[in-house]
Amino acid sequence: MTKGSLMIVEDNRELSELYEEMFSRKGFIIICKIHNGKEAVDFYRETTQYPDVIIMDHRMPLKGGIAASREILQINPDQKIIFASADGSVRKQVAEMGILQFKKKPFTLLFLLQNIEKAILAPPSE
Amino acid sequence: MAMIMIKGYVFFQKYKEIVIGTLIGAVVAIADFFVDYYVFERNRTSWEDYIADHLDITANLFEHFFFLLLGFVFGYLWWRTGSQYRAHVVLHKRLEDEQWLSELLLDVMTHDIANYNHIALGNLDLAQDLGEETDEMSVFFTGIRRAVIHSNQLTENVKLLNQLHAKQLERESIFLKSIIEPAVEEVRSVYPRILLSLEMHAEEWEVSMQSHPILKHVFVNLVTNAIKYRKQDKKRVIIELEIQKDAEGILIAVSDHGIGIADELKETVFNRFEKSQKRSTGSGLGLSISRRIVESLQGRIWAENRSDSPDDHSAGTTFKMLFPIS
Repeated sequence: MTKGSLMIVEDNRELSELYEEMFSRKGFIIICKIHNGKEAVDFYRETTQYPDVIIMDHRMPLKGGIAASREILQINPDQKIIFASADGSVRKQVAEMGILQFKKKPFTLLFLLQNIEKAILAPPSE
Repeated sequence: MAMIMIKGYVFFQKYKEIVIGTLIGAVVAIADFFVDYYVFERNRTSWEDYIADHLDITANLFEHFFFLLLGFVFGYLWWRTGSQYRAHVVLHKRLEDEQWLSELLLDVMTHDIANYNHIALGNLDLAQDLGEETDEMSVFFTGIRRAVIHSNQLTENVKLLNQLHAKQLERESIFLKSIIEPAVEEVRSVYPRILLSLEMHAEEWEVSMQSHPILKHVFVNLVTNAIKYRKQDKKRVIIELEIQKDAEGILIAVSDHGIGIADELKETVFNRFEKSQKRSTGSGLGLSISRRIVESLQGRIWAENRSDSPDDHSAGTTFKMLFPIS
């Protein structure tokens, strides 16, 4: 039984593989791993099955995490996004956009796991 | 000839204010000379006038020379002021460029180091998740985790120091809840195995004050210290927060049950780049930066023994911050 589905948007391949390894071990389905914001939005427009949670990086080539999240939330305002960035200065902007959670890197995967579980349980409007 | 023209052009470019000033002085002197000469020619009626005119003309020569000198001095002062101004502009531009470059490098460095630390912590989590952890392995894992956290704190502190040095903090109305909650969560995110609890009265969450979001880092530092300097093998860390607001100011007290700070070190812990013997881990910058942040916000921060054990520093520490309302 799966715990939920995840979409990983992270330009650091080592990190996205780490997320995949850890969260698939913990019972999540990884729908896709994408390395820039533009491809993430393109994928989201075309997919028929939205992920339960998107783990979104901030600084990425072609399109950053803020712009990509904005477009994804325009397509589906109920999409739960966990925004992960090493840059704490965007916390306020992220909160104002309606992104579910902001997590400042570095954090442990255990912490992220707890927050993914919390996000899946949260009602869509939260 | 061309060479002379080039040299002349270079000279003019370098000293154009002096040349222009001197030329203006010369033009005024020549104009004055012609005016004088014309007036004397018209009024001359006798030999006595002729001699008197010549004496006047000689005296006027000094006047013409004075105009020339005045033009030169004016030009010189103009050139001097202008060159100082230009030097100032060049210096200012260079300073701005240096500032921009240092901020960019620092931003890239702190961002990328945070990412590498993130990967290191992730790998560590995976390694710990693979199987049963022996006591020996646990020591190694804790060591790696601690090193990663300290590396991150160091870069964060350097970034903060640069931010504090570079600009004046503009204060805004802030709910303490909006900075304390993310601060505690930030610490929890790197110490997931520590049961961290914050004790405070519900109404204190609603206190607001004129401050700056950077104040969050003071709470991050204080809460992190409470974990780092907890009594040995304690998995549970309790932080007590007390906020008192009156007409004069806001007093915030953050208390822990850690190893405490001896009286002779209570001031030293805030000294930049200094590390006391008992608090030997960490970057050594956290409390120094906390003091700088608090002082930038016109406040004061100091350390005391806990109020329930005023004579026993080993019962824990209370960090107090006082911010005047005005």
